[in-house]
Amino acid sequence: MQAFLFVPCLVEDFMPEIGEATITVLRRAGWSPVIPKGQTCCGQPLYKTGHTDKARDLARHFIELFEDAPVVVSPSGSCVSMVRHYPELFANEPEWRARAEKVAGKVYELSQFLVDVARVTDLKATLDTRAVYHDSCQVGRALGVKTQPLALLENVRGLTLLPLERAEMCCGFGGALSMQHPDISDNLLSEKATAIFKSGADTVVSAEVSCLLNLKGYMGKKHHRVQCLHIAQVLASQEAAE
Amino acid sequence: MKNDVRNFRPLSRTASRDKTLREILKKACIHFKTSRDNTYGRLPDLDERRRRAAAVRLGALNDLASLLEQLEENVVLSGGRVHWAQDASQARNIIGGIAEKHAVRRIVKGKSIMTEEIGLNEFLEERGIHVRETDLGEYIVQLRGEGPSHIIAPCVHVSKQQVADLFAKELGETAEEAEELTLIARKKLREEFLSADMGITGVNLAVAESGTAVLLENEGNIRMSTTCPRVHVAVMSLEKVVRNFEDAAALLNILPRSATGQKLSGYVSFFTGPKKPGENDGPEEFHLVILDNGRSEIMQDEELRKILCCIRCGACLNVCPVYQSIGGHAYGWVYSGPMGNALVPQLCGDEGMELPFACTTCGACKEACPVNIDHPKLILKLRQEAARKGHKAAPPALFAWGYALAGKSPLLWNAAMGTLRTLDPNFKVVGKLPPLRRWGEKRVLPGLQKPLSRRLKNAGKEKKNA
Repeated sequence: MQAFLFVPCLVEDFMPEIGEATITVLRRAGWSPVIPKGQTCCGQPLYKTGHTDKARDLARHFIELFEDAPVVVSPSGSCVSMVRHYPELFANEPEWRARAEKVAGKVYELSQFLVDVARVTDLKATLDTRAVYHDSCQVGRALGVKTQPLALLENVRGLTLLPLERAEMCCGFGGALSMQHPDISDNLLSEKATAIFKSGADTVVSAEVSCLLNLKGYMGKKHHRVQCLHIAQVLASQEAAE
Repeated sequence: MKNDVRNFRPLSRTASRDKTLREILKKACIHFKTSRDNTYGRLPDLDERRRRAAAVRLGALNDLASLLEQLEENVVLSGGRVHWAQDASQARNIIGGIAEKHAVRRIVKGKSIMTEEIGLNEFLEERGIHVRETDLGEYIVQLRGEGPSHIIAPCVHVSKQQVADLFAKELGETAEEAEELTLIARKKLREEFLSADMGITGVNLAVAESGTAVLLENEGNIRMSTTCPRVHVAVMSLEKVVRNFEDAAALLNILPRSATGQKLSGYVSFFTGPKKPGENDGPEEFHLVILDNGRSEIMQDEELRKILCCIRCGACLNVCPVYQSIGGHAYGWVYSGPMGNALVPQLCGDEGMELPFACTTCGACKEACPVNIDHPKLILKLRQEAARKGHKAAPPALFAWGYALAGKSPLLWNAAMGTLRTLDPNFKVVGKLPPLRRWGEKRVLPGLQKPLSRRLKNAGKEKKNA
């Protein structure tokens, strides 16, 4: 069965390894990933900063690329959430609204796709690590995907999942907020990082690319050894088996 | 820096660097959350109660004009008086007029956000009237010469030690423990209640079918403020009305649980008119001031008006990461946190437009709201308004235009990325420019990698060759 892969722009250009891991995981789950050419950006940065008219242009481009796909999968909660909001962008254009609804109805965040659609929770992954799961706001709250990532992580050999203090708190990225209000963003980020250090974990796992960009940047700056991995990278790993 | 919504940026920058404040707020918000999780969070039929409470609030908004007429009729029937105020200035003059008519020298107040919204205290003090806040938290912030920093916990930003020092300086008496400090305040406030000519309170909700103002509190100061003085003035914004007691019960059911984690507040008072002949308690006169102050305008937008469903429980503030990072004063006015972000720009227009951008859209507020307000949705709608108007809080139209132009055309998009990858792959130059420079102070900037599509193409070729 084919699953069309929606590659977030951050993955295409900044974290391609997450894309590769996603492909590996989908294949292992028995699906053939198809990557449509001509992908750019889903329009989230425009939508979130109030430039809805311009976000609509990008939504049209996305819809044209993906409307014939049987199912669309992406390794980013916030990008999937954006596509789920497409129909409201076309409130006054019934034809486009219908097309947007069609696409919005078949787009899934990776862990949700694996558990709810592909019905797989054991990806035969092995990763020897003590990890915390960062329940990103755009995955847990915006998409309501809270249990699926945990179900997948539970089946990773060698991985011990540790509790994270105040796990429900945002990591402070918030898109434009981190540039418009950097002091606020920095506070939240260091608060989140402190909680991660306190947990004793050596890996933080997330299903959201932008949180990883934020956390990875901080860990790098502070020269901390905590590695920031996307859930696809964890599930793709067969470290000890090889 | 002056406390003013227009100063949100500098105020929030200063506040976000105050580590002590952050520690106090974190502790308080964890406390609020824990208490709330233990009562509100354990309601077996929570979703049903939220749906019911939301329906009551939306129903009231849909029928606002007729409910307000009914409320007025019933307040008058019960012997009270109703005053309509279009804006803050009218409301101040009405209350000032009542005080003047009764030759009022001393006023005691129960916690009321509405009177903060209209700047009532300063107005009355300028007229030589002694005004005393009697809610303990309000009393503390009044002594400190500031306003409340949280809609239900006015002095949440103040530590116990700071209160002890304040009392020593202002009251000439202090103590170490919270209980003892409270007793000192209690003693001082007793004198205020007994010598006041007029009591001013807010209104948590007003019941149209009976003309009753309902007030919740934990300290008994509202009871004292409304029964000791001769005159009681209650101030409400017009959306606070509900149809009947059944609807009121649906809100009372959820409000204290969501606010403080109590099943019910220590005191719930129902005020229906002044003291009747033969009754011992209550004021001789009861005045209800119903204030619009921009709400009729807000009512025009079907979506944005939903912020008027807010029952002021403060739960959204307690879970908001941004609020916890800067506190209420940084917002420059009475309303802060998510409900402030969605309400202030609607009350203040362009001056308050920075607020909707001070949000990570994490959605914790929406999840916490007992009347199902979708704050992030309202905040995004206000951002659209800011962008449309070209307000400086929104990224400029030119950025959006350029971004969309490239985003529509894969050729252009890839060319832009390719150019950047060739010229400045690790953001050595771009990283020095304003939006990214500050970002990079606390984070390593990501570098542009060989794109996924090209990696896959290469991998494909290798496979073929093999």
